[in-house]
Amino acid sequence: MARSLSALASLAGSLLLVFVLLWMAPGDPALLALRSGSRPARLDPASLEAFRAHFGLDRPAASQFLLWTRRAFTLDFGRSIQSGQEVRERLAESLPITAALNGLSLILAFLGAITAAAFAAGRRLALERFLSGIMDTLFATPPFVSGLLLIFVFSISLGWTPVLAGLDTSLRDLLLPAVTLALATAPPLYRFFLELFRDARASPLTLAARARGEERWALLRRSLKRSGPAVAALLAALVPSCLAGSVLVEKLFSVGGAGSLLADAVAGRDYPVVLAMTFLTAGAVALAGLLADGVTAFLDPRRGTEEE
Amino acid sequence: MKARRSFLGQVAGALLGAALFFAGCGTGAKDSPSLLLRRLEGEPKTLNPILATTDPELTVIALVSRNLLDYDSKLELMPGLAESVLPDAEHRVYTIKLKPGLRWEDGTPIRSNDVAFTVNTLMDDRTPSPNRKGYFEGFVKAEVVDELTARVTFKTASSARRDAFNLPLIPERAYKGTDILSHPTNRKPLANGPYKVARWRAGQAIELTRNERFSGPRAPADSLVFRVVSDSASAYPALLKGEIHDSRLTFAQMQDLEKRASAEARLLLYPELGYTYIGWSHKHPFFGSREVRRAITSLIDREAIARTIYGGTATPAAGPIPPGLWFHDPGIPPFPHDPQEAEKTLAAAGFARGKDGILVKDGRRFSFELLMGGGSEIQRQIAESVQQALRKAGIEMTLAPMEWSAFTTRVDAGDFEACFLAMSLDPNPDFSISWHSSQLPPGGWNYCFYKNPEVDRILDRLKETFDQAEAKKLYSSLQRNLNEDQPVTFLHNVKVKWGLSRRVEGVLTSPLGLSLFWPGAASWRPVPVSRPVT
Repeated sequence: MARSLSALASLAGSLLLVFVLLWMAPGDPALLALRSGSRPARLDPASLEAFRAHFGLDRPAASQFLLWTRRAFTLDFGRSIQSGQEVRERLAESLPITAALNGLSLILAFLGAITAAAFAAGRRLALERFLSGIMDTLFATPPFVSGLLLIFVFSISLGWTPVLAGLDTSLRDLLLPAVTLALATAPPLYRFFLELFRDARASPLTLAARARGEERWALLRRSLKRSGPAVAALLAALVPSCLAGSVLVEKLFSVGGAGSLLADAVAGRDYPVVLAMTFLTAGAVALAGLLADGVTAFLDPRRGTEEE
Repeated sequence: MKARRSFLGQVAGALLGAALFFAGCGTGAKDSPSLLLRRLEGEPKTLNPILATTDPELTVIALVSRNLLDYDSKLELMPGLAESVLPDAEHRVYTIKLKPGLRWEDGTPIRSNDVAFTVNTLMDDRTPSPNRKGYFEGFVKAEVVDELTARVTFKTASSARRDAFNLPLIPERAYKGTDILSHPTNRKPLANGPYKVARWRAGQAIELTRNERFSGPRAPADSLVFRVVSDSASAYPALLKGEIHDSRLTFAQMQDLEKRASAEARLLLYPELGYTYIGWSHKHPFFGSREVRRAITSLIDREAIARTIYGGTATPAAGPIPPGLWFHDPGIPPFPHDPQEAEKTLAAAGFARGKDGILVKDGRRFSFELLMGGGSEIQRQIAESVQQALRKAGIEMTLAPMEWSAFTTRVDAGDFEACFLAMSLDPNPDFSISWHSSQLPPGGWNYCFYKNPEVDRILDRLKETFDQAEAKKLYSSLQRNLNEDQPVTFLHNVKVKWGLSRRVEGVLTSPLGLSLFWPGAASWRPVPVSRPVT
């Protein structure tokens, strides 16, 4: 209950913070929506006023925010100032794409990180250093750069994948952008699993198991299972960074997901879209946190008791 | 040992599987013979032809909606949906005669009520249409005369109205009595051009198919897909792979394409109808002086910038009228590069070097900030080159790159000392928007606060001049005045660098680019896959 209340408070806080930042940033949403690039144009004051009134931009900022928030809890996010389209409709088009992209990238990142960590743990120091070096390099490489490199290797040199994500956004269409995102997410996961496997190897439990003749893979599986709560918490912590990474990667590969929608909306100070995205992202993060708690309690009932 | 082998075996198997999966993705983009793949640099906000303002919007709409009158490739107006648009002797009443037999994509006929409805809707206060309304200044009413004839009446005559009827139509049946800003038809417009919108995948693509009800020449491709690729870094490899058939190139990409001798793409250069410039705020104590502005322009070696930074794809601009416009006067040379003369002028104006080497006048250092928006690499290089040239003469210019929206907000409000901008022009641009002293911010586009009674007089007279020879003289005088005055430093007329797939034929250019004229991209033909590309 306390956890849910704090999630709600953080949701409200995020919305307010984002709205204030947008409101303070220079740029009039109405003028930005109506400006015609670099062509000179004369916008008559009457049209501008009518446009502002149409989207409620003529109201005081606080009233705009409260009205939007009140509606948002009934999942009515208003209309985009830029396109006039229902925000809900637009999100229904773009969110599944971003969810699929991030889902795929997390699966790839986990598989890659676990495989590399399992490979490195307890081997020769040289191999571990080599793998850790690669991971550090990947971690230091912005997704935009690694995406471009992947394009040049896999699309241009080898000709295996298209540059632009396919239009049906099936998992196959999303592979290259998902790998790009996974490359950024995998290194911290790798570090986590490397430590985990090292500890596991050093623990007396493992020694006993090895003495019993258990296979290495079974040992790893056991240590993974033991680390369930920590993995769940880690996954929850990764949700916001995944969404942030999506913004650039979606633009690069022309994936019409929520990331590129958010980038355009911020540039246009399209606050109904930005707030709706914040609402859903903050909601997703809170939900991921709650789920992680749930998983922890399920896997390790002692923790549940401790909290109570 | 056994355990280790089996684990390695599992990993190797997984990697091999992944590699095969990758290999299986190598579908690339094998064009069907009648498919065109074009790039859009941004997501259109609307496809309502009278609300559209941005290039991506206008590029799509050019294939879906014809105008009453269209521009041809030389920017002459030609019949489009209208057979004729004729003004009365006083240039106040325009009679529009539609071509017979025209239909919307759903088969309903296009009638004069659509013309009257479009114009009336356009002029409604609830319709924000900044780039069209200006042409209809002095509008009184639009009415139906008969099934194919409509009439539009104005209070006064104006030669700026020449291009008003380069106007697309919206169907009265769909829009009447509705909210134009959020109408669903804005995302699925009713076509009257060679293509129609089949599907809009938000953020990704707009798919067009041939409009079989179009009465003009049949569209060469069965379908045309516009991909939204806002990042030029991935647009270029996509062009090289044939996933898109055209894309604007950066200078570096142009150089790469020239070197590469690609079998897939070729280079197309055409002069843009516009110019780049550094705007000076005349509210600034120094920039209000004509002598100071002229001196600054003389300090900048625009020839050298064109040669080195633009690689020869730009020429110094001689005022605001680019060579692509019929009234450009080639006899007016660009303002000369003469740093010595400039320094003399500044000294004569009372500037002297301070201790730090920066000029000082009346106790004020000659130091200012140049606002830059968005920030292309080429713009940064030019700004740095100008910065060095000015520094040599004792003028300190700091560069202030900003996010685009914040930048435009400050520029529109006239809240800057100097700003770096590019101007795109229409075929019959209304220069008074930028240069008339009645158009100061807020609201006007004369954000440099330029005031010159002679220029005002020429601009006013141009509005009343219908005779082309007479207008040409006035334009020449306008160009000369502004070039001499340097209200802004006119930098360059730049060529647009375009990469074009060798799988496309029939591409025409105009000063408006590849799309915003007739037939524009409606003439693009995909080369059948069976035929080798040349």
